[in-house]
Amino acid sequence: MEIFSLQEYYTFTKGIVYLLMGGALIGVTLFWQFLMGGNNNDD
Amino acid sequence: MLRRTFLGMLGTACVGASIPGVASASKEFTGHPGSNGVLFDATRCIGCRKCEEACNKVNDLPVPDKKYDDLTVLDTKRRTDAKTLTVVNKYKADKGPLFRKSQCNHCLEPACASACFVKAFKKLPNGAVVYDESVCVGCRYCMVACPFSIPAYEYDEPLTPRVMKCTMCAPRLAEGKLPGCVESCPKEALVYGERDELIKIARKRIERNPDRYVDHLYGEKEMGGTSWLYLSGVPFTEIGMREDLGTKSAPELTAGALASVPMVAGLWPVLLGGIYAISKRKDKVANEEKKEAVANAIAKASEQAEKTLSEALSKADVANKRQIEVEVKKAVEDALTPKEEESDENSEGES
Amino acid sequence: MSNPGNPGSKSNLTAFNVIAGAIIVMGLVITVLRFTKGLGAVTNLDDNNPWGLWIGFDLLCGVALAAGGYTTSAACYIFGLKRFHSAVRPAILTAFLGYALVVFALQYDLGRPWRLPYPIFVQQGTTSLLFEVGLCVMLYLTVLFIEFTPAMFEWLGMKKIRSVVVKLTLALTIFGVVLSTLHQSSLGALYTIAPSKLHPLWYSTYLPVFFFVSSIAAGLSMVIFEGTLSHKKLHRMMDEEYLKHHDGVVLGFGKAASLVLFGYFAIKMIGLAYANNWHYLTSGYGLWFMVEMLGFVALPCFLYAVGVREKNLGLIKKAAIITVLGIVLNRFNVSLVAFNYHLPSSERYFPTMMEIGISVFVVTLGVVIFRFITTRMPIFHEHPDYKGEH
Ligand code: SF4
Ligand code: SF4
Ligand code: SF4
Repeated sequence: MEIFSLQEYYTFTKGIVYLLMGGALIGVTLFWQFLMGGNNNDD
Repeated sequence: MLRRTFLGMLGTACVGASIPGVASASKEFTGHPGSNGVLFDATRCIGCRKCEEACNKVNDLPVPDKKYDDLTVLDTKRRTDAKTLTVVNKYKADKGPLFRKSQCNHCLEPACASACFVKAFKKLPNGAVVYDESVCVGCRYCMVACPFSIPAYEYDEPLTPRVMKCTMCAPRLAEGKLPGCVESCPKEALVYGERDELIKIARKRIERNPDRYVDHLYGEKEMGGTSWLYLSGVPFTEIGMREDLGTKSAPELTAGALASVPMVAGLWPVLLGGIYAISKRKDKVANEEKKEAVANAIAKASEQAEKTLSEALSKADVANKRQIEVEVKKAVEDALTPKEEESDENSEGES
Repeated sequence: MSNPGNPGSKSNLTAFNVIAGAIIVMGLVITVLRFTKGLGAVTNLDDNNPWGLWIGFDLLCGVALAAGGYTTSAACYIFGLKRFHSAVRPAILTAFLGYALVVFALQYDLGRPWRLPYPIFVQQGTTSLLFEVGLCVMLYLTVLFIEFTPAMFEWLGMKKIRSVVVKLTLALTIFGVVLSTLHQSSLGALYTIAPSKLHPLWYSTYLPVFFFVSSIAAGLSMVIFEGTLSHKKLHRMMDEEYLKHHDGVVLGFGKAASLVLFGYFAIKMIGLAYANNWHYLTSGYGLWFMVEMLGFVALPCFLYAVGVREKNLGLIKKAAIITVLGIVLNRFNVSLVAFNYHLPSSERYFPTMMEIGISVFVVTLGVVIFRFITTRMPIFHEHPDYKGEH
């Protein structure tokens, strides 16, 4: 796919960004569990 | 050697990540090479409405009540609507009436396409911006977005309304024919061709007849450029075209808002999580302080009690030591037994 | 023993029920017209004015005024202001109902309503701000629903599921705030694509920020406002816990709203300066802009502050009402009054009675459902089995 217009370019990049956003939201939840878990749970 | 392999791998990874064929860094786009457009010359248009008629025919639209040779229609200002994909309007000027055809301008960066949340609009390589009815939800955001107020809507269709606009006759172009309106124009006020060529032609016309034209090719830059271009002998505002649109294209206008969306999604959880952790820790510290304070108070109180007791004892020592000691012992024993029971009960109740 | 969970068993023929019934019948009639004769028959929408009251009020105001959900739950669960706990459930419920009704009302406005899932599941127009709004509203509606389910599970006595959901509270709250930030702001950003159609005093590249910040003020004020209303009408459903904290909630939210309004006023002025739009202030639109800014932002900001300082609950409630009206005014200005300002008045839009009818119908539906739920589920009171569990 070759891209000729800003419009197509944004459609493409924003598509990826939306996927990343979903990934980041799920990722941060898991990471939070990881960070707050473990045995140093006193503060 | 090792280093080189590593760099090589890194390079491959980068290329892989940028996905072949996608221009990554440079964001200057000039549209499909060799895409087409139409040049409209207002100084040639005579307001015969032949283009309107042709458009109506090639698009199989319902025939209007007033015939196309009825030129009184021109006396009222009209716009494109669900049954009319192009209209010619009349404007009064010093030199006599002027006419201007309007239809979709087939923007290089279409606002309608940028706004549509189902990608119903597409800029084809041949220059036409076309609409796909099979996905349209009917939100009409495209109509809000179009700076030229072109798309119209079938408001009277209860369940299957479509957005209606000029297609640059994409189906005819695919067959190698000219757009209906261009073909029917008796004055060659409409010229179809490669956009780059049209720009050259227009420039030449302006150069050769500087008195006839204003030095402005409308659509070359407006809203990021359009495939439909306009020449005029009077300032464009006088033939009903907005000159305050600017050259920024629709995707550029929304780029800032769109760019901040992923930042919020990425950073808000971190920020809010941080605030949560801090407020929780504060709660905890406050709780601990409270506990400590209570413990301190209890300790202090019992210390005090002991002290008074021992003081009383030593005072009592002065007189009849022995006897009093016995009595005190008795009294203390008496006093303590029920208390012990009580405290036993208390601790049971608490646990 | 007083059990606040019992619905009041009185006659059904109260004035409220009669009026609500009449409005609902009227709404149904217009509904039939809309889906048999088309948008053209019931609305004044046309090719120049594709968005009317149903977008300006039902969507923009609906979403802004339902912001109480995320502001309250954020205050309680993220900022750790536990004393607002009693306000969370009513706020979540109103937010959920608000969003559900926004989506419901959208069915009238969309040309082909059954295709509403298309942008998410069929073809994603990722460059559209409306895509962003749609995606977030869908996700947020789900989040709100899950946040609301504990009340339902308590009502139905399903303890296990309830405890699972309660464990998710923090994650849900943070998601809620993220999604709300995004779609509240994106509703404003919808208009950034049309600088040529929106009056420069209301158009700004900061529009998304304006919409987001004002939605916080709207949310806080709505919680105060609704609290007052429910207080009068649904007093019998409220337990001590709710009543004890009610005044504290009003004071705290009043303080917060005052501060937010101050910030909102400041950034609006910065917006003016950024686009160098001062000279428009002397025009007719400028006057109208000043009315909005001074009468419906600066004034309630000040009233809130005085009310909080003097612990004057009455004044705070008045400020809340003015703020809510101000948000409605702002959304109307952006979507209707200042939109298409360049067109001659004959081409401007004014809603038909039927459009107004549907909007009234939708609001009435909301109130009826709210009453139905609050008189049955533990919203304004804690369920006896789960007392003191926060
Ligand atoms: S003129 Fe309007 S409808 Fe035509 S391509 Fe441009 S934005 Fe789209
Ligand atoms: S009305 Fe149809 S074409 Fe226009 S923006 Fe909405 S979905 Fe896209
Ligand atoms: S290009 Fe075709 S659709 Fe467009 S105005 Fe001309 S005849 Fe009509």
